[in-house]
Amino acid sequence: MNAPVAPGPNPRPPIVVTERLSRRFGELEAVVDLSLQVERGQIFGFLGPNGAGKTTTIKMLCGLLPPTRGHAAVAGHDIEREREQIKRQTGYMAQTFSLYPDLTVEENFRFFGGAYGVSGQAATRRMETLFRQVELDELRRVQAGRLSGGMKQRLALACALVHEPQLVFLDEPTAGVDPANRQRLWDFLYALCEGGTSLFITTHYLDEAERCHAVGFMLEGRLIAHGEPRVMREQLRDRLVGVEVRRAVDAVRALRTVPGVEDVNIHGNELRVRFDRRVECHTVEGQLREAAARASAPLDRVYPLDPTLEDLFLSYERQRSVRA
Amino acid sequence: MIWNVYHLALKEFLHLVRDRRTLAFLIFIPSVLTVIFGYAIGNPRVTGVRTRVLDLDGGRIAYEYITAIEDTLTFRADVREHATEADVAQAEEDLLHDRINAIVVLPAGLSRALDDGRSATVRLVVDGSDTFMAPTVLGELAKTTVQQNIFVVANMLEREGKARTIEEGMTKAAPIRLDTEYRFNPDLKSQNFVMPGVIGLILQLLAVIVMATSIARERERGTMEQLAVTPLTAAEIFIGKLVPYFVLALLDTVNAMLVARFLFGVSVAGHYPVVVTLLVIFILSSLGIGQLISTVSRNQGQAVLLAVFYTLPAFVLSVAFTPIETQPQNVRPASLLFPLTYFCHGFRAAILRQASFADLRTDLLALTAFVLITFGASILLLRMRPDVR
Repeated sequence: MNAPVAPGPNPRPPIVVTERLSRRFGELEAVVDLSLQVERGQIFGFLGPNGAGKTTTIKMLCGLLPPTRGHAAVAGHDIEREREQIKRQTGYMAQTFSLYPDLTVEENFRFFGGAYGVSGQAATRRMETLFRQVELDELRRVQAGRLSGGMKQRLALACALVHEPQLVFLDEPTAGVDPANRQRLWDFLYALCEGGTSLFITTHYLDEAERCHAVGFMLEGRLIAHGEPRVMREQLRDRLVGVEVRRAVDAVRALRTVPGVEDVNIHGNELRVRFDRRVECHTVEGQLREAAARASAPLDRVYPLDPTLEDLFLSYERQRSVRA
Repeated sequence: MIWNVYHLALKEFLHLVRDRRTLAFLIFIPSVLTVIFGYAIGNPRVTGVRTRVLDLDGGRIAYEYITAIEDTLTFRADVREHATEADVAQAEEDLLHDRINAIVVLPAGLSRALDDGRSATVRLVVDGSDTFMAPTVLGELAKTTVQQNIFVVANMLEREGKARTIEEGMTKAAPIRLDTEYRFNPDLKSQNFVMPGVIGLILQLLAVIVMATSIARERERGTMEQLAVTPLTAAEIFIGKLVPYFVLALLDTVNAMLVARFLFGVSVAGHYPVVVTLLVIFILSSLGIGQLISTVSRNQGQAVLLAVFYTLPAFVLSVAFTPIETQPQNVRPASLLFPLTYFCHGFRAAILRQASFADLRTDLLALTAFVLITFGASILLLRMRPDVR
């Protein structure tokens, strides 16, 4: 006579949950106390410079590397005790091309299919669907080593998706891929996401992070911020001012001495000036012009700017280095 | 399980087939090596030693002694009759400059002394820098000297009337006779000893080096990481990778044995099940060692170096081409560390003496132990750290 249990407040638990996840290699603390949630059906962007601990984190989540401390669950399974289940429900695309260059496109696909228990007719059907989506149909008999960078990337993705995983880890999927192919890849990733697959993507291209539903910033093994890109960018609202000047290098040196200026970066014809607090453009314009004039680098124009994730990231890094 | 192994084995086969040149090498080189080794490695026999024979005596007995030296294959005698002390000094000089290997000096008065029933001394000087040749020269001349002694005594007995003929004198001088026979290899054909060593060595070389690069190559290319995220287990990866190389090694065995049969006349006289069992376990043990090397190597370079460091001592310390009896006593136990030792011993016994499973119990058990240890250790290491880089 038990009434059916009413669904809880969150019927779809997060696809990835980590709790103070840590990994050290000897003296090096690669990942420190990482606590993170990735929602199901989202594209999560994992950002940070090289050596920030992104790949180490992915390896722990895939079950390739045991953590030295902390816990994590992927697709509801513990990463240490239920590695088998995780392997069956996740796909992994490594940073470097890691398929067999001497095997053909089809042979690579069928091998990884077999490894995940997808073979025969099922593999053929899956291959037809995926190859059509990633446009590899005509290249089936080509040896993987002869493919261009973008094609290799698409083949690797198809191989990672052969067993219809709930979650796919993509480690730097767009590194070294040209803009057109990058665009195609993103189109495919969105389609995949709409089909219900969750995606965990690392990148150090911050413009790409803007395409993700949620992002996390890693720096020196620590998660320093995470959330929706739109919300995160707002933290910098009214802290950015654009400047047009001809003698940019002198101007940068001068503007950095102005009180309240956190950093100044050159972007082509424009300088991006970031303050450590909220400011009104017209109230700081005077100070900026005065400092620049003293350095004989008069400013042409001063105007408010929209923040990007890159600005935010530079701001975090700056604060961190100042503290250190 | 079986399907996972099948998919991996198929992939490894494809790797082999795609690399045509390497495949051709792997198939033909063993046969070529069998031919080369079969001809080059005979019984280690010393012949044609450049010997200066200096006859300072000039008598009958000296003449007979020299004739006996000339009749052996060991010496290539350069005889100087009516030699003087100056010739002896010259010979010493030639020995120093490696123009000759040995000097035999028959002193003046040799024949007369012996005829008078006194003793005389023949002097032999050998270049000791070749430790293999020198003792052989010494042994061969000692044999000649014994024979000549018998002649001298027999002659004396006959002259003194203690024997009616020289033959009777010889019987009296050397009454103990020796009846000898080489069993199992009556003609003492060296190939019968060498071929099992050659086959063993080639199989070991192939299995260890080729297998050693397999997992190391996946690590180097980064594909091991991709394999490690699949549900494939360490044991499946291990066995899947082993299968194609096992088949290849069997193929090479058949090739090498055909060469041994038709070029060198070495045929299998023993029981086939014993021979095949021995071969299979030996191949597996070599592949196991290769895999173990592979699992501890980060890249192919390391793997090949380790494999060479393993196979070279095996070449010297096992009994592939030289009997264990040629090794110094305190080094002999080292041969027990190499499957090649057990294989060569067992294989020789199996093809020449028709040894049974019971006869080869020790060899088979030792090889099986190698298989179990290397397989177990490799799988364990592979599970613990699949993508060491």
